[in-house]
Amino acid sequence: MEVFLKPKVKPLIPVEAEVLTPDRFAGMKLSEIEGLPVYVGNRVEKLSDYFELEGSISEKPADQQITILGDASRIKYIGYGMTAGRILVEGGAGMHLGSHMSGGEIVVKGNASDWAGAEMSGGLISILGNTGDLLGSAYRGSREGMTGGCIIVKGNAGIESGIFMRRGTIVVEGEIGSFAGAHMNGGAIFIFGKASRGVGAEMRGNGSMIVCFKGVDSLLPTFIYNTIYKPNFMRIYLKFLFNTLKIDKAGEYFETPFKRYVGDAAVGGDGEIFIAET
Amino acid sequence: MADLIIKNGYVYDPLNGVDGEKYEIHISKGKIVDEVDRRDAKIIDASNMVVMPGGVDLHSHIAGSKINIGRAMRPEDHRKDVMPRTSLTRAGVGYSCPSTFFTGYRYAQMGYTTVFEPAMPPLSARHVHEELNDIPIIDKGAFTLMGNNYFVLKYVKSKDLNMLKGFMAWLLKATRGYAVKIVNPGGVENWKWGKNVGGLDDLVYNFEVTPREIITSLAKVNEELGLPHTIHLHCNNLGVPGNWETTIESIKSVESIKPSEGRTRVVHVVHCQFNALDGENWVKLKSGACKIAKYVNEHNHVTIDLGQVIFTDTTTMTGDGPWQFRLHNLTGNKWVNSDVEMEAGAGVVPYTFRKENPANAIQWAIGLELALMVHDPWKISMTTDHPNGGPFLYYPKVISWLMSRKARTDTMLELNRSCIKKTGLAGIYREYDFNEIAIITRAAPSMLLGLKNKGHLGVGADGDVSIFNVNPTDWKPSMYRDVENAFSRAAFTIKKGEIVTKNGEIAANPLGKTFWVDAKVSEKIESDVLEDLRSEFKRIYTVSLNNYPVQDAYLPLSESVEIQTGRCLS
Repeated sequence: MEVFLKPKVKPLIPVEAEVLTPDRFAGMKLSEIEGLPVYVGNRVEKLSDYFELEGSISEKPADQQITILGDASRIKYIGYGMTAGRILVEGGAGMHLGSHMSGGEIVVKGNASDWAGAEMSGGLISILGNTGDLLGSAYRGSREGMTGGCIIVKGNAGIESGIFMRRGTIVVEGEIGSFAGAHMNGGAIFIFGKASRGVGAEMRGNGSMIVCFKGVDSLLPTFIYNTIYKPNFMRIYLKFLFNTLKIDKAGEYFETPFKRYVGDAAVGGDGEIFIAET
Repeated sequence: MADLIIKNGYVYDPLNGVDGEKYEIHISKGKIVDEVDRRDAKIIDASNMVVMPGGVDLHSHIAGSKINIGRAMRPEDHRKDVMPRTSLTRAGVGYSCPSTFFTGYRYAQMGYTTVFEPAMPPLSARHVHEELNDIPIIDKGAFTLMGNNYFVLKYVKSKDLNMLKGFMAWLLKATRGYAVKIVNPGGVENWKWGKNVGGLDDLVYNFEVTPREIITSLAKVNEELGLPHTIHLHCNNLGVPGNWETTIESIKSVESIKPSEGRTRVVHVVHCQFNALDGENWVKLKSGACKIAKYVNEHNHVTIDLGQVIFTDTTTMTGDGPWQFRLHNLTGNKWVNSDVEMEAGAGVVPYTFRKENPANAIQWAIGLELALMVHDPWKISMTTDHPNGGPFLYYPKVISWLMSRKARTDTMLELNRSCIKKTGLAGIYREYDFNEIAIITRAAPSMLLGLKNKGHLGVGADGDVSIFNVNPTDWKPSMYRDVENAFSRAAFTIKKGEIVTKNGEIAANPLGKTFWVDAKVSEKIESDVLEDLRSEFKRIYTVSLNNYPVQDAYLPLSESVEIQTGRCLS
């Protein structure tokens, strides 16, 4: 079942709307949902002050789809902590999209802002436009960022994406900013565009892997070159990306050899960076 | 403020020998009295509930520079427990490093009314008192760090105990401290040179004294001064496998010291769990609790507190700088080291106690073993060494473990098997009753601290009462979750005759007082010490002597315990 939210105004101050999740909506009446609190500056306002609501509500979060018909780039915390269901944003989305989520799916047709998928532990986020900084990262001070799930970005991603990543997958089809996967301790990042400097800085290992298909601006000297080869697991990964996650670009690299670097030696890590040799 | 009558409750007041009797408690003007006028009194019906004195915690790092470093370095910790503002209370955050207001509210919700901060570096005394003033509801105090102080080492070296006595009395007054805290004696001084001490007979650089001399001198002078609390000792080699020997040696070293009038104890060993490790290294780690417990059972000059481990993500913070560096190397976690000129040091490192970690599982068992193997509960105080073993919010959980073997077994089954193999906890059938819980959380700590009006419900005591919604007559150890819930949210907490929490919600927000000790020494000693201080401060300190002592303005509400040498007056 689907509920439609039509933005009424473009707020001047960002609106913190962590109520925008299928978990919160499920089992409520439309009128109750309209009254849910959102935080604007130091005031508490109602969801209906910013959106017109219509549609139907399901009993279980898993059957619920929330569609935002328009731009929500000033709406923060969409899908915060969701466990099931689906959110579709027709325009852009604000900061902290899908942070702490553990299941379900979010699709954003426009651009997403910073902290998308921060500390998420499951589920899928697809961003068809660009995204801001700190994609799938840890919040300040924390040692564990993304611990599961998958983020796909069709456009570019900002700096410090996937820092302190522990598990899960990030796929960026465009370029990525500097220090992608810094402090990474597990998980995989695929970068189909050009990667900027500082990739994998202080990466610890635990099976963590960064794959760069279009080269790196400058690789840190603490990553040690191993060999050039065609790993079998890479083909399995790429087929997974191609067949399951529908990333067409992955199809170009089935037979490509990769240079393997291990590091970061500065912290005694054994993470891997693969750079496609084209 | 209206008078209060608490009726129909099962009263546990171990200091007055009351064990679960039903009788009325009358409170008037903040004190417990024989009888109040029934017509104007507010009556609390405590039917089927447990009535105890307000809780007393003698070791909990709640204020000062260390906890503030923890707050600054752990923004991720603030997210775990958040309390929005209400019309009565302030907003607060924090879990292992809670903000000041939050600390007061959470303690009051658990029925605690008196808490002591156990490590105040003298130079940070103002900071400690500023934070203590911002902790609402509870009464509090702070222990002054002395084990690595320049003057202490100097006087110990010259074996001039009179000067040491004068200095201790002056320092307690200057910092408005309540007791003498010793942290890794000699080790923190050596840490200034990147080293530590490995045992009681290692030498401290430049002073050529040993930790043994520091402990015995301070204990001797502490007893001669007649301070209300004994020395509060954090032993050497904390957290080093096999350290139980050092711990027992430290306790033994003060065995022959004559305690001050009216007591048999001369040393309190803090967070004993961290000092009761046996085995050559972390892999071969096993419990040394039975050895410590055997010694404590046989001797009356020592008391301990637990430092119980809780399986959670916490922040360790201690004045023991070298140990924190070792912990940082063990875990790879972020680390802050802090050095206080001439006086002390500190370190802060986040740490997660994990159920699957064999060493952590053994540590968890050691804390409980200590509590269960020491026969006399009056020698035990319950602490988690907040936040080192775990946040104080988990005290109810510790109570449930102590009161129910089933609770222990249920937890043990989730732990690494080393807990069963390398400790004796599985073979212990003892279960605490409500009276013993009242002893280790209330009566014993207040007795150890020499607080005459706390920890009991006799006439003249402060009107600090906590009431818990659990019926002791039909409670069975298998119902441990009930007791955990009851102790997490006290039905009523009464502070100085005022109801401060009701069903776990804050109902009033008064400011508690700060305890400190005003020890008097002879004028001759006082002037000698001041003369020495003046010249040394000019030579080596970054602050002048006149700016050093804490002014009275920092303690808006305080109670000083006045002491004439060798005799307690108040």
